Amino acid sequence: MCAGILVGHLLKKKSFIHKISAQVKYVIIILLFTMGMNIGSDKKIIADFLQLGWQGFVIAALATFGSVLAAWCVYRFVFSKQVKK
Amino acid sequence: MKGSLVIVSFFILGCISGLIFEIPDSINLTDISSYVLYVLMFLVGAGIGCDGKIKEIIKFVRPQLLLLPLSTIVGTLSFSALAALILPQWTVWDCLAVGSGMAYYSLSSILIMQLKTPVAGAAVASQLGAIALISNIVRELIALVGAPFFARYFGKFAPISAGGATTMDTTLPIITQVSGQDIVILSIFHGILVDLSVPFLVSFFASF
Repeated sequence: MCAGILVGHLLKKKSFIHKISAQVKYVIIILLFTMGMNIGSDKKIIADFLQLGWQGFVIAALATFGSVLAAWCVYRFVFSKQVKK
Repeated sequence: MKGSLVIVSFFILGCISGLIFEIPDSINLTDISSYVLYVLMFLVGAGIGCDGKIKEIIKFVRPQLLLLPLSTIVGTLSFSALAALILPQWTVWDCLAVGSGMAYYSLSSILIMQLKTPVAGAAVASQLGAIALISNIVRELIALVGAPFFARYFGKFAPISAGGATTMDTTLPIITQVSGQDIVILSIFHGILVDLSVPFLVSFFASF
């Protein structure tokens, strides 16, 4: 990634690099496809999919809740400072 | 939203074709996805480098602005660690690796799958990768659907934190809708910083 940043920065003025970096979306699609094939060829994972989904949901719910709570603290903190001004 | 649907459907398509077609042993799928991953990381880097965004960010940085992305990361990580208590089959590091995807599901799930394979074996790695994918898609959905609720009960910064790494693109419209236009710059700034943190945090936690 650092190599990418460097090359991107050096070639900033060339128009082709902008076009290339717009292609990220297609690379992601290819990646997810190969990842899907990886998972699909593993029968055990398909059998466990519901359980994995539940676990994913637990982590997502907790992660979101934690970040929202932290944002609430920041909001209170910044907000009370603004009121004092 | 349309973009994420396309990505998810390609993932499902991959699953189905993996199920249907017998893949000859001579083709190593994990190797192929590693090379595609390197291409992806290079492109992500090139995108950041040629955008000139980094300079703008540095010009723009003020301590107060850093507070929100930082608290997003701290809040996410501390509560993801708690998930290990509910899910005894995964370690704290595994839960942290999944949580630190920050709704950036494509990159985080691929990274986890690649980096976990040498540490824990291919089977466990693809399970955790699948959890990361589901979990981070769910987080994006929660951020999209729950934004009005978060803004109402937890203040106008809450929808931004919930959105994690997506607050500069997919969740930006809903955030400006519920929290106001004056928050656009903060939201984009937050998205860029959290986005940048994802590859570092995920690969750090996945190496345990």
